[in-house]
Amino acid sequence: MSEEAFLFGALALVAIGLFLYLLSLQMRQRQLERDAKLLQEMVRGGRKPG
Amino acid sequence: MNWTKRHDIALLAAMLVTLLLLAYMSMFYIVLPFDVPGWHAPIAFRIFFFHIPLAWTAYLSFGIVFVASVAYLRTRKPKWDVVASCSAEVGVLLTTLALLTGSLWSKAEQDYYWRWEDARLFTTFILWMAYIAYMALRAGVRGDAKARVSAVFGIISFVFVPLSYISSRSPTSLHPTTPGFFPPQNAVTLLVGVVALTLLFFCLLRVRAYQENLRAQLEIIKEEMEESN
Repeated sequence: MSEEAFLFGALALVAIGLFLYLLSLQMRQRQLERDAKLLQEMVRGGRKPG
Repeated sequence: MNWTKRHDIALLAAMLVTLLLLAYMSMFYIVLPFDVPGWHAPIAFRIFFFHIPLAWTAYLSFGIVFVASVAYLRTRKPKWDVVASCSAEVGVLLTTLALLTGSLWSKAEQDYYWRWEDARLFTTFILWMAYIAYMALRAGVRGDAKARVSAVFGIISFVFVPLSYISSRSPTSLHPTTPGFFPPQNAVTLLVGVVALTLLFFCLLRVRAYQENLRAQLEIIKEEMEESN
C-alpha cells in the first residue's frame, strides 16, 4: 500500500470513530427525551412507571 | 440566551475553528521530513498531527477521571462521579483512535502494525483495557457502591498513564519520542492539534455530562412516583 493510503486510512478511521460516537450520543439524547415525555404523561395521568 | 449556552456555543465554535486550522496546517503548512535520514514514509508523517493530540487528550481525560474520583471520595458529591464516568468513556474512544492511527503510521514507516514487545504499545494497550474494565465495572455494580467502587478503580487505573508515557524511553520501545524527532518548524501545527483535540474533548465531555445528569434526574422522578403510588 502507498503512504497516502495509510494517511487517508488513518484520517478515515478518526472521522468514522468520531461520527459513530456522535451518533451514539444523538441516539442516547433521543432516548432520554422519549423517557422524559413518557414520565411527563404518567405524571399527568397519575400512573405508576413500570 | 443564558451564560452556560453562550459558553457552550463559544466552546463549539473554538473547537471547529481549531480543527479546521489543524486540517489546513497539517495538509499545507508542515515541513515533511523528506531529507531526514532514517525516515521511510515522510507523507505518512502527517498522521502524527492528529495521533499525538489524540494520545495527549486521552491522557488528559484519564487525568480528569483520577481528579474527579479523588474529589468524589472526599466530598461524596454525585457530580464528580458523573464527570469521572463521562471522561473515562471519551478517553477510551480517544485511546482507541490513537492506537489505530499509531498502528497505521507504524505499518507505513516501520512495516509492522503491532509489536507486543514494544513497551509503549504494550503499556498503552493495558491502559486502554484498564478503562474498558472501569466502564464494565460501572455497568456491573448497582446501588450506592457503584460510584465508590468506580472511584477507587479510577484512581488505581491512573497508574498506567505515567507508565504509558515514560515507556517510550524503554530500550524495548521503537516508538519515537517527541523531542528531537519532530522538525521544530512543525511545533505550531502540533500545538494547534493539541488545542483542537482538547476543545473537542471538553465539548464531548459537556454533552455526556449533560445527558448523564438528565438521566439521573429522570431516575429520581421515577423513584418518587413509585414511592408515592
